[in-house]
Amino acid sequence: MYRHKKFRHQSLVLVALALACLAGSAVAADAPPGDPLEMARSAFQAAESPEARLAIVKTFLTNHRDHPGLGAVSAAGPNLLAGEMAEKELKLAKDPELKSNLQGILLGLLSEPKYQNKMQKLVGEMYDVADMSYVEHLEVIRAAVGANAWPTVDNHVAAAMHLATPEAFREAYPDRDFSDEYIAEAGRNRQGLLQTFAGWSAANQGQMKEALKTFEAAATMVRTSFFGLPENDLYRYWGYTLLNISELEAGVEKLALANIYNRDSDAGEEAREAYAVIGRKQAFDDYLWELRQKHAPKVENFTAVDYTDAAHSYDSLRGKKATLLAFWFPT
Amino acid sequence: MELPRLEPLYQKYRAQGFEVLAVESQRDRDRATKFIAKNNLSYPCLENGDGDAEFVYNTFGVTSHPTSFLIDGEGNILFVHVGFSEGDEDKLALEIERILAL
Repeated sequence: MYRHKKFRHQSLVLVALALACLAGSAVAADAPPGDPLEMARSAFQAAESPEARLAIVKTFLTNHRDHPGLGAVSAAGPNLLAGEMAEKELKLAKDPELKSNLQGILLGLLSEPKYQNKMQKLVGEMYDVADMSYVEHLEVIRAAVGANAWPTVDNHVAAAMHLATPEAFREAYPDRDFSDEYIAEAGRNRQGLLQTFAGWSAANQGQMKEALKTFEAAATMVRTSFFGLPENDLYRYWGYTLLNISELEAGVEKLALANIYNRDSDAGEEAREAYAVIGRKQAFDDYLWELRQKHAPKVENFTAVDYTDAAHSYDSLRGKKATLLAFWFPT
Repeated sequence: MELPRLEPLYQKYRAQGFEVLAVESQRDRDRATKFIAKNNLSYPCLENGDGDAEFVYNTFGVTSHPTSFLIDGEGNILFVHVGFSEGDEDKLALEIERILAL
């Protein structure tokens, strides 16, 4: 059975998480006792202020330039400090805007599988689910997906559903003058986005049939781009899920389309790998070319002026074998 | 910047039926004309429409710049390129040659 790496990755994450817990800190995951890294870790934990911790990180980076843990300290130090400071400030913050910004920083920092547990705990502490806006739910859901915190994803998808309506959208923007058509579409799009995450959560919890059903529903609701494809990550998640149940042809197509039209390079790489497993004679690049021809939208005619105010219409170029339409602005 | 790097491609493939059409999205006529003159761009450079005539976003849904669409003779958009970095000319050249069947 083809095992897609997004799913394979989770077992590696569990191992990494266990190692981090044993070591007590991401800063010094592998340091032996007496090692400068171990000493820095102890000092780091004992330090009473974020500033003191920052000084310890700086000292380590200055005095132990050849230490194999240097990279880990460089990478983990600022993140830990930013997290610590944001967490501390958050407890004191009274201004709603500041509070919301700090919550956003923390969510961003914790949106990695190694912070799965911390993410779940912190989200529980930071938010009162009943008072959250749709946008806040979505922010939490996106961060929780990054952390593989599936119960958090499920809770917030369920809690946000009553806000995924045209009425709730209109209420969220009382000063804006939207058409009824736009508002109806925005409500559907909200539902589609939530269904996308619900499907991906189901897939990651092994409920593949439920996931596929949810993706199909999401595809009818989520906003599509000029190219007729969902603007969000639906095709990426759908494609990964199809690969995982060995629906290789369908999975490759979804991922390849996400790559071509949503510029999802990870999806493109995964499609290329899975395509090799299918074992077709046709080269992958030729397959992509065929797919583009199958899904290519047509250019509608348009007319615009040049800088002498002469009008040009696209129709006048139709005899050309190839045209590059380049959109730009001067910076 | 993308536009000056398109000029060599235009010169190389125009005899085989390749055309470039640049569209400036923000209607910054003063800076656009200076840029075009400074870089000696020889292909047609157009301006986005105003108000109801706006078409970069309304017709093509383009929000990121630079963005390019490579279109075949039937009007099919076969290749989308967003951003521009070192080496992207080569990627574009490959796609152009594929459409021109060179």
